[in-house]
Amino acid sequence: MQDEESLIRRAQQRDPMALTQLYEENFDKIYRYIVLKIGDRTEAEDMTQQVFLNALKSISSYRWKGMPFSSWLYRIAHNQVVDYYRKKSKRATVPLDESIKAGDDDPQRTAERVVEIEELALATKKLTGAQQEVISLRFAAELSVAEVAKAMGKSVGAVKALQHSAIAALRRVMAVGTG
Amino acid sequence: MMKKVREFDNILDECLERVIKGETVEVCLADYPDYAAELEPLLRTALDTREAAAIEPRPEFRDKARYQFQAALREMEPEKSRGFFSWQPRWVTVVAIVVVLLLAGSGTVVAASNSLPGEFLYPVKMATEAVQLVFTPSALGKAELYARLADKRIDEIIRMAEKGKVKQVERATERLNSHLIAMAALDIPGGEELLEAEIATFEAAPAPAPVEEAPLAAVEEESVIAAPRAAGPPEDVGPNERARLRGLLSRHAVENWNALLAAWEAAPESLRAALEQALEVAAAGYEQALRNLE
Repeated sequence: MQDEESLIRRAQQRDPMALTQLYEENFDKIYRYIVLKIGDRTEAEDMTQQVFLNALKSISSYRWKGMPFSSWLYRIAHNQVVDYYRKKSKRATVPLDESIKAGDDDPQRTAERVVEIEELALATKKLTGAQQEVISLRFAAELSVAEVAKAMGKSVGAVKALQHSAIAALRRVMAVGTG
Repeated sequence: MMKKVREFDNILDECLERVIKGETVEVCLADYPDYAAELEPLLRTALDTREAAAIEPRPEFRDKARYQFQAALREMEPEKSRGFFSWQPRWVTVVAIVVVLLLAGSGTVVAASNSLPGEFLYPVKMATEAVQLVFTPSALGKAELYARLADKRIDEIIRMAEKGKVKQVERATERLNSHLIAMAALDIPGGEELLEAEIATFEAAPAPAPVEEAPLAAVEEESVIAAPRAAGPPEDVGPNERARLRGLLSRHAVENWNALLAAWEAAPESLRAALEQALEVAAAGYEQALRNLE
């Protein structure tokens, strides 16, 4: 197994194989991270694409500091999300349920999934910024606690505490929502 | 109190990891009966969250995005080879060129040309190669030089593998990759002429004239430093030159691939991944370089 540092060095030399490998390894996770952050699957598709095109443009400026490459991608994705919310007030958005329908052929499954994602996306908005970030990175991007800690620049202990408070807060919010 | 909260944070995370890996919630709760009442609802919420978040991108979107990413990749200019000099201040470049020119033909440079990664004279070998590239202005000359450098890197990969040095195999593979990418990015004139010549040959005669191949070894290491060539008018690269280079490169690609494969077969398990990477880099790199000569 080739180490990530050497893979990134090849990607910085614009080696198509290395760049494609980084793209394939991270694409789904970045997409999920953005969907959970904004709750809009159609917008998330465009934004996911843009994250990778931006990464491609600026990969030569990436500096290896022992952090996982994905944490750099999540930072680009995070900036996209911030931009999205900045512009959101100026334009109409596609409702979540409309956009989800396009993605699943099974109506029964779609109906269940819509409720879950909608609930989750709305519930996470009630959390603090740091709690939202932990939930997105831990459960949508499926990073380990150690990886989340590196991505957020916090200690492992601090992330475990945030994870605990975020799950507890989510539970309370969702209980109120369904009660 | 604080210690207890931290302990619970750790237990929650441990159980979460175990459940994600396939254990049931009940098994984990049984390991921590004192915390079970508090743990269970949190674990259930975490699992629901994870399941809800695990949406897949639509296949049509995934295909479209992949296509656009690959199109953007093709449009990108390949990075100029980040060779020895690109990392150094300008004065280091000047001093290195002067020193290497002064040493040209001396025992040091000759000895350095046989050095291996990690050895004392290896940086001299790298500097010598960089100077050779600086004094090879034509694209065709550069392509031949990169082909020779790729041969050297493959030789180093195999020798480092024999010594069991995984890191050095990986570094030599990165250098091999840089050479092959740089070769594939060269703008070698003569492609259209070649096509026209091939059409003319096809129309004029049933059998195309055989392409004469000058052996690469004959020009290699005539002198350690190639004599500086004056930058003249645009090079006149005939279709035969281009075809000769293509034939030569494809022969070297096959020979090098076979040598790497033999090294992989003889290698212990600890070296196999690094050698597989070298095989992958060689296959894709030579393919791109050959495509550039089509």
